[in-house]
Amino acid sequence: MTAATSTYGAVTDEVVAELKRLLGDENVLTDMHERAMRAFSCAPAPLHRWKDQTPDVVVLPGSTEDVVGVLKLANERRIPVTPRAGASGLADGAMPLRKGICVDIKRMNEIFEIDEDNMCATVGTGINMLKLNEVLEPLGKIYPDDLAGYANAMLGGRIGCGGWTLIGGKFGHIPDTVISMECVLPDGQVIWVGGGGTKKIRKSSSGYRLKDLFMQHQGTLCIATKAVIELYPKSEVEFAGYFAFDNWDDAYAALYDVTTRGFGNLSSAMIFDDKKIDFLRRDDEAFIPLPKEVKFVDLFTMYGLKCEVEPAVREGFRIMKKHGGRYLGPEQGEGDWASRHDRYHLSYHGRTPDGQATLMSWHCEDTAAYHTALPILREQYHEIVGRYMTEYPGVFDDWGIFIYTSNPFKGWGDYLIEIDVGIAELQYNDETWDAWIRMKREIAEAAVAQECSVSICHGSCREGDDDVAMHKEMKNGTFDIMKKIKRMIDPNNIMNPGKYCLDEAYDD
Amino acid sequence: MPYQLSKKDFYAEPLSKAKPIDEEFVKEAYLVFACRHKFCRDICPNFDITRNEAHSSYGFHTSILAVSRGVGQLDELIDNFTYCLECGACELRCPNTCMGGDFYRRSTTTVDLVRKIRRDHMADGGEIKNWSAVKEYLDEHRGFVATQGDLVTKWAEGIKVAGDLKTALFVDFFTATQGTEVPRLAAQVLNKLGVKYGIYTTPGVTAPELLSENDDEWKKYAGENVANFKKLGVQTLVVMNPHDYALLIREYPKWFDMDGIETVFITDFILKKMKEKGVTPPKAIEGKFAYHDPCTLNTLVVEAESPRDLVGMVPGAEIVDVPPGNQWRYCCGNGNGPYRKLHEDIAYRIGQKRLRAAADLGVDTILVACPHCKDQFTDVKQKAGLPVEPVHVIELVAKAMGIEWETTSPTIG
Amino acid sequence: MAEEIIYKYGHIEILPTRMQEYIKQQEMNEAERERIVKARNIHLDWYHRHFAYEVLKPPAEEWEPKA
Repeated sequence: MTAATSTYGAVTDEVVAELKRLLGDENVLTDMHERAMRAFSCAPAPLHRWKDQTPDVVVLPGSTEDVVGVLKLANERRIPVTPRAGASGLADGAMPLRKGICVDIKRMNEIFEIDEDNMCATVGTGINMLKLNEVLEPLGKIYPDDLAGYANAMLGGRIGCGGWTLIGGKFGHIPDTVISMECVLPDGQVIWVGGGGTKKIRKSSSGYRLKDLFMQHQGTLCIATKAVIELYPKSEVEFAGYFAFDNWDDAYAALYDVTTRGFGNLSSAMIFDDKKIDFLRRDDEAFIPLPKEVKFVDLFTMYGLKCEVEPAVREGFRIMKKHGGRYLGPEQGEGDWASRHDRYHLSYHGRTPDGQATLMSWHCEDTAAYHTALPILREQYHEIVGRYMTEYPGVFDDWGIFIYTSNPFKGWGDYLIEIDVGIAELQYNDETWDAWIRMKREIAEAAVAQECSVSICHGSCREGDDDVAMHKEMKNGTFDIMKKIKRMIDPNNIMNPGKYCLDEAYDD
Repeated sequence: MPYQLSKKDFYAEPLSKAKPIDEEFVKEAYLVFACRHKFCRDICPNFDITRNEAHSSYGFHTSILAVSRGVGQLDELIDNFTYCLECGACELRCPNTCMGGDFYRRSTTTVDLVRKIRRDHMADGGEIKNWSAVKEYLDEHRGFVATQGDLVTKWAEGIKVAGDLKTALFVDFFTATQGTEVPRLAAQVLNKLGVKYGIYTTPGVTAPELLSENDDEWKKYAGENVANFKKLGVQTLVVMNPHDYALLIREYPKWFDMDGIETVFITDFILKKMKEKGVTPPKAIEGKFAYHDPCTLNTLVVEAESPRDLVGMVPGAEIVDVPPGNQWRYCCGNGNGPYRKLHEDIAYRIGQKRLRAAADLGVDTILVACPHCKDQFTDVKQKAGLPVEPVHVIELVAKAMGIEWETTSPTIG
Repeated sequence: MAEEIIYKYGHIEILPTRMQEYIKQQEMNEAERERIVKARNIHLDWYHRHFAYEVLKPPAEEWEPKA
């Protein structure tokens, strides 16, 4: 019998009583509705199997010591543990596949220190970026983690998935903006990983770079409880310029030129493809009025000092115009850019084949691609989703493709390419769920076939992604090392079991 | 401001543990669940304290959806539905409202949902923890209505009321008995401005708390009010309490024809009259003040201008402003319903957080436009020992108009 | 291509025929629509202010403001 297949310990009344002793009655939740709403994370989920992934108990720790107590107990009893922060990740890291204890860290949202001299802050990982930035605002500082879930995601989840940020071209992504972290290991040991053995040093040459190991593990190794994060001066100005193109080749060439020009303030550059524009024309006030010849849109954004951004914007215009881009005006730029976090979360975007508005949930299939793979993947992704739309009319809907810059601090090379899929989640049954997983797998395989990565922002630990990521993308030995590390740190496989195919770590 | 009509007819059908959740309601719950990003959760002032996501619009809708899928029972959810301030921030921030409610003509209505679930639960024989305090308050209110007459105008003792009811002051139970400085000073400001008005003396039970208990009874009082407005020839209704104002603007037109009656909040009305008459308050009040947007104006009605503009008319007075959009996530802690009576401790902590935010602005006074906010902040200030005094905007304006600064109001009741 | 939509009181709105079968519209008057639009503008303004002190206008030679 292996650790992966042997029976997990049950959450008995005695376990609940012990959790209450550790955390206080009010921080241990056993009511069904409290548990049921923590069954899912952010992506369309198998609602028809709700009970199968409802945790047995939810705990709300308030400190590192609380987390230590819970993990020690869980490890002793071999009870599965699923950490939960903002629960807005589309890889479903917070989905408790084996039930057990849901460790919901939202109470751990303290700001311990704002160190303006060294431009960093020490915070609890239950903190939300917007709330943090409201505190930093009077100091003229910002923590620039600008993701779709900006208003609700929490730092712990961002660390768990190694998050990506929209304006990372200037400011970097989570692995760049988190300087160090306090982590609680399954046996209750508390470690701090950062530059060497420090908390506030960004770059050290001492020892292994363990910060990277404890980032992006989707809760399978530890629970991050505190972090030191980077502070930036709040930008003097922002500029978002939208340019219309009538064909892909020009939009693609303009993206290349703007990202390789060497701007220091380029925060992001993007392409909205033709299907995306069609989708936005359903209900988006910024896109409905666009003339029909607008097929593709390129966007570039710049943040920083006015004296730097102003001339850079002029050069950006020159590049876009050189490729035939037509500026769409400041209203488009300001309105659409400011709605970047909210755009998808209307539930009425879906359309049935006969044009009725229907309720669909959004899923973003994100992959990390290099520049020359983008045209191939764009066509393949649409072909895959189109095929499933034909086979399951009214269940899936192609909501178009976005391409974003994703190389931290520089625009070139890497891009995020996502195809957004509308899913009639309420209609899920075993057949349509399986179809969805097959679709995901095909998209992941298409990416890997181009030597690209299955995920760049959400993570690749979801059904349909994980086997492709672990067994194909990481077949060069990386997954073998992952398994060894997992087994060493979490010998009882209690940390978010079932994710990243890591049960295989325990196959003797 | 014209009336805001926004209504879902299927809310009238009670939910009951004895029958499955209707498909229309399943979709209603799914609409909020489907977003998953939970913008509604992190904007909620209650969640900001409890950090339990069950206590959020996402939690409310998800738990109903779960029940519809056979996970949990309807009557087990009721405790969740007590953790709502009814401030409306979540439903406004919901992308279904904010980003597309106008395009699709359908928006998120969490406040209605919360009231409905409480109502249906009690109609189904269920109980709500601590509801006796709410009952007691409503009974006082009913008693006030039964006696009416003297009590309803006692706040105006010694003030000359010279007009008819074409312009009628709408002073409800709370402002007529506890927040009396607001109508009292407002009436005197209007007198100084030479505005004629009468006092509407049969306001009925207007408390939003009643909508969580018995909406038929609430509608009975509202219907009587509307009939009276018309019978008495009311053309302009000047409302002292923003809780009433939000109900008059949002709830009344769901059930009654309010055509021909203009409903105006007191700060809007005074500001308009000052501008019409070219009056600037003569007395300078030098100082910097924080301003707290009441949720009833800022999110439920989305009118945040007139209290600020009115303060702007006072020479020397300056608001160190937190813009209304930032204040969607604030609440004084009282809420727009029974919240403070159900969760006294959390209400206190919400208020404490808000007063601390005001103190961080370096001011010693926080201006408010709602008597409930003032009542709550007064309580919190005393308990927490925070150096920020709540003052109603009308008090500031009255002082600037040279009206005697009254710290004590006539004893009522 | 853009779906056919309707312009009403200066706003765009979905064709009501698309909201007949699966998901239905609620009763909503113009004042409520105005409230939502106002709230959206407040929200979008807030986002701009939150991330930078100023939204830079395009170069004057690239865009002529509407009269």
